[in-house]
Amino acid sequence: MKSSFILLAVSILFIYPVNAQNQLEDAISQLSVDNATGYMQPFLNGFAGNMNSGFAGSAKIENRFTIRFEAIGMATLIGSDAEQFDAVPPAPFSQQPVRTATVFGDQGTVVQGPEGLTYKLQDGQLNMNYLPLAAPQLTIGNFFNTQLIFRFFSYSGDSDVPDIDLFGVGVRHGVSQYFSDLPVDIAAGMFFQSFKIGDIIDSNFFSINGMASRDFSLLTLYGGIQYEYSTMNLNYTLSGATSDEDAEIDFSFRSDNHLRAIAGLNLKLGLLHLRTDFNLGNVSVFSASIGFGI
Amino acid sequence: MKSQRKTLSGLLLIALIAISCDDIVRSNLVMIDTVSLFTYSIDTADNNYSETERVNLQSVIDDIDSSVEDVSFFNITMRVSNIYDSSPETSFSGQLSVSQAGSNQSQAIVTFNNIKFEDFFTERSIFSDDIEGVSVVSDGISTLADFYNRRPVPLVDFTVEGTVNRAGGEERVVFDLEVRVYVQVATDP
Repeated sequence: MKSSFILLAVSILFIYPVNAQNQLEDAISQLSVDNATGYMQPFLNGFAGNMNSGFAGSAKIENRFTIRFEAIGMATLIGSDAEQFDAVPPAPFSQQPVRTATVFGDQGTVVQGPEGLTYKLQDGQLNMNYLPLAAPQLTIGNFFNTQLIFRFFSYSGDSDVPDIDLFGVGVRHGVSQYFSDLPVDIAAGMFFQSFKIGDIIDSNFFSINGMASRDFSLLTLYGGIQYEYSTMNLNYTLSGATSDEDAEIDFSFRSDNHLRAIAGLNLKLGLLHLRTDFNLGNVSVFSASIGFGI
Repeated sequence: MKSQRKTLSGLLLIALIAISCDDIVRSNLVMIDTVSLFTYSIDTADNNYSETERVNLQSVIDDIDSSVEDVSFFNITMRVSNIYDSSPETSFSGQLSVSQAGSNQSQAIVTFNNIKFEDFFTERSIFSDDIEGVSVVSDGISTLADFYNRRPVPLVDFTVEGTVNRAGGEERVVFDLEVRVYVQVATDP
């Protein structure tokens, strides 16, 4: 269990490193609501892609005691289209949108204004081909062909490392019991997760999915479809606000991810469970996990 | 044995993530916007006014924890924040000028002619074309830009001076004029 907590902490530190804690937060705190949304939208898409992955590797939920602890690693591919968005510079510059870097992009665009004045839109801060994440997960069941899934992690202490609060809960129900002679097992599930990092980012993730699987000796093939709804709340004091603006920014925006298809493999070796899957939707996500339990 | 397996698996995953995530934080700058705000409280019994505010432009840099690579201003705005008992129809003319503290050589940044108080109840950029009678002085803009390029950035006197044209029957014309200088600081975190 400890190693899984380390995994989560390490992955958070990679995407939200020491020093970059303030770097990312400082970068966001310069942005108006619209610009912050565009700047962070690919991050939310990737983050939500990860968070809504890796819940389970089988649709077989029989009425027998199950307890399993897993460490889940996820990675969302970051395409080149996630590196730019259209931003509007502040006055007195033209209010026409300008193509510039998202958080995953490189240099911000320099706009020209009156009297030779210039303004540089925010630089990108993260250089990634994919966004990684890891999380610990506990599965407990099965009662009435139903199991509960928990994700939990909390860290608060070292001032150089952002505080992290993750809580997730899900429920899965085996529906094969309602049908006879099905060639596959079928399950449905829903999950809610909350993930707060640092001082200004707070995210919520909801997903509902249907899964089918079939066992082949030690190996299970599984697949499914999932609907998901994710939001990110940003809460900060806008640096450089005008007297007409409310400097206290507090807003939420939605992930572009809504539907995904899932396909994966699950290998069960006694108490050891290994699985990996690919998720195809608005973003592409790989997940892999190692678990121990029954 | 179980705990060894878990630790080994964890370390392998961490190593995989670490190897593949080298240099994931860009060495780019973080652009930080700040505002220098100073307010002139003008109270004149005749038609003339002149007020000076000494501003420590270096404080923009000193307030930032990170290493500062570049400082430049990108906007100057004015707003009449309070007119007390003066008429909103009262207008003012004059200029905002800048000089290094202690120097008697000032350079106008902007001139304004017959601007009604009510037209400046909302913050307005001196670069905006919305209001007639406001003219930016290029040499003054260059002078201020040059101040921001110096290290340390010097103390600067901003002076607003000119005349008022009463619209009401008030004995004194009293108003507060806010000036904001918007600055962008490139920092290396």
